[in-house]
Amino acid sequence: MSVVHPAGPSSRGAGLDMRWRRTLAITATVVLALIAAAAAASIDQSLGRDSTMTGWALVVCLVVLTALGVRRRLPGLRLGSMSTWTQVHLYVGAFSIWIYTLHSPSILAGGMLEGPLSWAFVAVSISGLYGLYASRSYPRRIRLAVAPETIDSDHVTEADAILSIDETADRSPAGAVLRQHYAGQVRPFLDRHAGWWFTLWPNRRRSQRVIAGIRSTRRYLDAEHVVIADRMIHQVRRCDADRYAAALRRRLRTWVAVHAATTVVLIGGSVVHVVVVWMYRS
Amino acid sequence: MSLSPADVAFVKTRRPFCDLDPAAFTRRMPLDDVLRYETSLRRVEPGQILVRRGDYGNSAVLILAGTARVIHPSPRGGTAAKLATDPGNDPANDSGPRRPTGIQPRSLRRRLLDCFKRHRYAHVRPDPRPSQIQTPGDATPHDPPRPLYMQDFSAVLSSDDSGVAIGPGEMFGEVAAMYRTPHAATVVATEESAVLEITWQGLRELRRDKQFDASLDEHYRRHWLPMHLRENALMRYLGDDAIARVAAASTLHSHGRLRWYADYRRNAKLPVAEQIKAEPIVASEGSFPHSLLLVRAGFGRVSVDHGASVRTQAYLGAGHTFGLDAVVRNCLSAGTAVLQQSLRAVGMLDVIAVPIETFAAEVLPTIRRSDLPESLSDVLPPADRRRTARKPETSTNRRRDVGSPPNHSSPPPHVPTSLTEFIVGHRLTNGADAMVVDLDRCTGCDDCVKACGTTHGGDPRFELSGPSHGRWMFAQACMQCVDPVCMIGCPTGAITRDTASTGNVVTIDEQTCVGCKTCAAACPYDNIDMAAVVGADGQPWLDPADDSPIIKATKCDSCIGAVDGPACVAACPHDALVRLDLTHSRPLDQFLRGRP
Repeated sequence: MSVVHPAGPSSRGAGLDMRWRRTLAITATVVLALIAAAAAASIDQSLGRDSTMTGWALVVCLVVLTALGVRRRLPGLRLGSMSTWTQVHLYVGAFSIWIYTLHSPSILAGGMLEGPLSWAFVAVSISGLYGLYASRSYPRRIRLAVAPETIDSDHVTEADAILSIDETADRSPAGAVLRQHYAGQVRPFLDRHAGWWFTLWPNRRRSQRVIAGIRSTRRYLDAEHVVIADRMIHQVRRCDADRYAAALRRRLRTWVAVHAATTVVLIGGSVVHVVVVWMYRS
Repeated sequence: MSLSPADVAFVKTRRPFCDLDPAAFTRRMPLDDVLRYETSLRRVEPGQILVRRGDYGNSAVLILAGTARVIHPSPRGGTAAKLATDPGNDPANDSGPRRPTGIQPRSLRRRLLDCFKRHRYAHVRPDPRPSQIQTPGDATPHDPPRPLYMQDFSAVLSSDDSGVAIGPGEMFGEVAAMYRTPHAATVVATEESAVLEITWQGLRELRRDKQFDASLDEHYRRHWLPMHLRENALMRYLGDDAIARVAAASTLHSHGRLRWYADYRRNAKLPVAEQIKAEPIVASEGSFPHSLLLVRAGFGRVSVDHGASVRTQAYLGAGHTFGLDAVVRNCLSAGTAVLQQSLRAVGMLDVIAVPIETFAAEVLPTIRRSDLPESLSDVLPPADRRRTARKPETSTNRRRDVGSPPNHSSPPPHVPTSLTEFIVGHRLTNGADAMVVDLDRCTGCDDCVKACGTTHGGDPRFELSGPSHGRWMFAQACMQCVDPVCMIGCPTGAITRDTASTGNVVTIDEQTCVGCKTCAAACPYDNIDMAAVVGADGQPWLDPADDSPIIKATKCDSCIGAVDGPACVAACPHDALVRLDLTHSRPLDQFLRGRP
């Protein structure tokens, strides 16, 4: 083939076929999980303490899982791609949940140290699973909600512009009704920032109330102003979609912080747990 | 630097300028002004490399006195082996990634320090000495670059395969200058010589003289066309005589505008049907293929009539062929097969047309049957049909068939038509290393931007925004274009593509850049930024002349020198960001095939 490929390889970062990679990783995780279960059962049958083996396996898993954060902070070093590290993180995380069930007599253990430690482990696991779900589904929902080029639009200015198209010439009663409704209902909605509650539970109730309000004014408008009202409804919908997308983006950032914070607690508790176990080993 | 009137008078006594008709030139730009402002005189020493194969150039070189030698890669090794001491840098070796040697990888210590260094300001440079500050006023157009010399030149000269000697009155580099293609050969001065460098704008003016124009065409046909033909995979088994006969019979055609970048953005906003309608037709669906078309430069759209409109199937770039199926079908079965697709020029398209009779007589007998597309199995002889039918495409035989020409006109199965049309419409076909972001996987964590900043001293070289189609966004990062428009007109030669040292990445030499914004304005994709340079204390560098801030052009350099590739790709935790060669459909098709 005589085509010159100026930058060298034809694709970089494409990596393995994702389906093949997933199959390989799931198979490896399941095989390792079965081996671990068989080893634990074998130790248990020979009246040994399988919790020692599973405990050390959990420590190793924790080290591997924490390494992702270290790799993330060292982008300049040749340590493999973050994508590979993330995949390893995901499957080691799943494996460690299984090992935890073998290690701990119950999901939430009792005791002064073990109780909070198990809570931390569950919190890290749940936030990790939520992160997996969020990072795989939210980007698509954000894309479908808003076009990338319209992100960070100034909806207030745009809505003001819609209304002021013929403001100077418009002295009609219909124009006055629309402006009055805009100032009283629509503008406060556009001005208000979506709060944490909206981030936790994004919904359309408020925007639908505003849209219903605009629709209710249509019977007081002439044909020309009905068109302007429809454009305003479109603007409210866009604003709502932007807020929805912003809420999802905020969630994507927040879960990382939550996951990292609970991980720090888990690491600290695990270190104490290992030291205590080591001190009281028989 | 412009020529003095005495130099202009001297140059006009030399061929071909003494034969030019002054009346052929406009009053706005008479011959004297062309020579004065668009040419420069240079004195070169023996062994000095005038142009290097694979480099891009904005000017042609005319030998006024002395001699030079054109050294092109031999298919059997020979001189090419002597030129390329490192096989990874042999431009003739297209089989894999080229290893840049000009830029050394950063040391482990340096990379580790960069990871932990917090950059308070972007674009920080050590405070300069006054003499180091370059401003647009310092621009010296046509300033000769630092000369390069061939190390073992005497050994090359004494070999049997030492290239073709050229002397006074002969020109080279004009094709690379006019069509923004890489130089096809290396030219080395064999003795102390005087050469005249002519910019591409100057060449365009000089071509107003019909005789000069004809001589350029004739020169191209004699010297470069055989080389371009030989580069095509279909002709790789042709002997020298056969290549000469094919070159003699072939015709050259240019379609569209060389300055395609001037109006593509306006056209990209039009409906696809209108975009296609505006493109010049090179070959029509349903017509008899009188010749096989080899794309020399530019891009073409392969389309079929569909309902009341036209549907894009694929796109072609340099080195691709069009009409092979119909041409071979007619050659083998003496039938009247017609073209099943149309070819249109996207922006600009340069093609070499090999007549069907010449193809049948000279080329077809040398083509391996395995090189022909599967769709021809019904007209191939039975034995060959068995062979081709038995070989479904697998990774094993794909590897064995490296070098065989794929059927470029066939539609890539995993690329939707709308995406192909988006890529063609936005001229992303120009991108050899385009940054493609999967919006269904990108969480907006900005790790790619942070990694880019860490690698480049706190200056991220791209923006995570750009044209998008469905789930794919084509981010605003330099695509290392095959037609690097940004390289036109840089007054200091700061922006270059040196295939030997930078692996074909377009680079900007910060020391030479004077911040004139020419490249940033020329880039059709807005992928070059002008950044104010600041000192370690955050204070901007100032031009001593007028106290205005010093600005420099910055762009993505594909993390040249990094062994593990661009930092942005390596930093993406969600497989959302890839760098793809969009100059042909296959990499995108392969990439999409692997995506769920």
